[in-house]
Amino acid sequence: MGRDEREDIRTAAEGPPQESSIRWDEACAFVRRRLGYELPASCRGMTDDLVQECMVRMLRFVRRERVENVEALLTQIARRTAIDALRRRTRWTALVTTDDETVAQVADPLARADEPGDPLERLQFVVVEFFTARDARCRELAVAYFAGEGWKAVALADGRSHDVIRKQWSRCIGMLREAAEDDRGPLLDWARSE
Amino acid sequence: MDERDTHLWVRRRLLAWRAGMLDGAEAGRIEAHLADCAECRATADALAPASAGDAGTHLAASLVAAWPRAQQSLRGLERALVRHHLERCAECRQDLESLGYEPRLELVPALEAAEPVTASAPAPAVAAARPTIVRIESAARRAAWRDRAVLAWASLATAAAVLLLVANVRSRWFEAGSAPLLVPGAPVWARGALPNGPFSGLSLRIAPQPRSLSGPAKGGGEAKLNVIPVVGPLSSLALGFKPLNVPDTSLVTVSLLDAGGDTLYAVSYRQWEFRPKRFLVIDRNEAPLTPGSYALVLASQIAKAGREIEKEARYRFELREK
Repeated sequence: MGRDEREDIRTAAEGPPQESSIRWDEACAFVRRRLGYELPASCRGMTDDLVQECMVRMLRFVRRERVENVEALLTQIARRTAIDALRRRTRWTALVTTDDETVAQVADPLARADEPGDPLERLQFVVVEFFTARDARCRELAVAYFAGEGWKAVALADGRSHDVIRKQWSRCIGMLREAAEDDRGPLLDWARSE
Repeated sequence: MDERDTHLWVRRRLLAWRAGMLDGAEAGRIEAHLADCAECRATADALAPASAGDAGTHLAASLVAAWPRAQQSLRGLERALVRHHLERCAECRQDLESLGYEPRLELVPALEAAEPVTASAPAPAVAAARPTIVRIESAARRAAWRDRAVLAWASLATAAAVLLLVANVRSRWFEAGSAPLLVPGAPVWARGALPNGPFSGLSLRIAPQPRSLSGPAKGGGEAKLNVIPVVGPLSSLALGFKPLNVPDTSLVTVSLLDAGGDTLYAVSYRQWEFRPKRFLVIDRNEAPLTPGSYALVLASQIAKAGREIEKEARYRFELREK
């Protein structure tokens, strides 16, 4: 979800007050109906996973902020989740190139297209979590960059030059590359030496 | 590299490029290719980042939603990181429990990373005997000291030869019939006999080759593991590292910790003693350092604007049997 989308959801959640408690089963049924409207017929097989995803997003939202209008919130989440799912479907296939010899050596290259979750979100998680365990400064940089700040904004906020930040990030990436050199996962293909 | 190879090269890096993970040269090469190649540009557009305030700080909602499949397909480094995150993140555990899943990721040897992600393997217990000497040497000064030692040795040898000659001549000329005072092979520069061996007094010692430690952890993070190949226990170890960024007059405490986190030795120095090209020599003659994991911790407290600021750097290293 992008920042604008999150704003939409926040606005929706702040609509006219409704019953504040959320009944799980009812919320699931509501989201399922909404997804039915949003998704094309060819994507109906994804509905179960997407209902779950909507519920996780809702849980995360209500942890952070008070929700006044649950129905509006769920409608927005369902819509955004459906759009993300459609985008995501093309993401994995974009990354899987069966004519790539290195991918062809994987036991089942096409199975990569069935990988769960969003590849970019998964890579972002791997990066942040890796630095959480290794280097707090690298983690700060990664979180700021993934939040859409860009290196120039990060440098400005830190009162340091863009070059210094770039060099520091380059050192951070070196650490990750070293750790991922022999990794067999699909997200870290780029880290392997040629 | 032909055109097809370039496409593949770019395709393999698009995700990393979108996540800002490539260095300037690689990113520039991809951008140049995207400017010319409509097909790759379309692929890159499909991977446009969706920025979010907390991107990457929790498991992706889409992954949590498909947890049964994720359990079967996550592998390598990512699998280890997801497991590590679940161990410490109550929110992600709660998300999984809300969906009716067990909030843990089982160990499946075929899917695991080759190397542990967060902690090194436990090392055997180390004798807690204290090292005998911890000092900081300068590489340049050591070379100068070595030169001086050689010069001194040469001077002493010359002086001894002269003395020997004089003594022998004197004994022959003035004390004929008695045994010579000095004969070749005697410890001419002796200051006291060594308990073992015929040679005593000054000795030349070969200092250990310094090992540079890199990847310090600042704050609560985990440091990079520096592996130092060794043969058997070490009675002497020289370590090079980057000093803390604190004023010259700050007192810095250097501690050597064993695998269990127990302090084997700690010593304090002024920051100015950590000038570049200096390194730390650890001598443990009576209790050599055995192969295993250790940590070198530099800690200092500086006062800034009336407030004490703690600065710390932790280097991890492992003495690994060759």
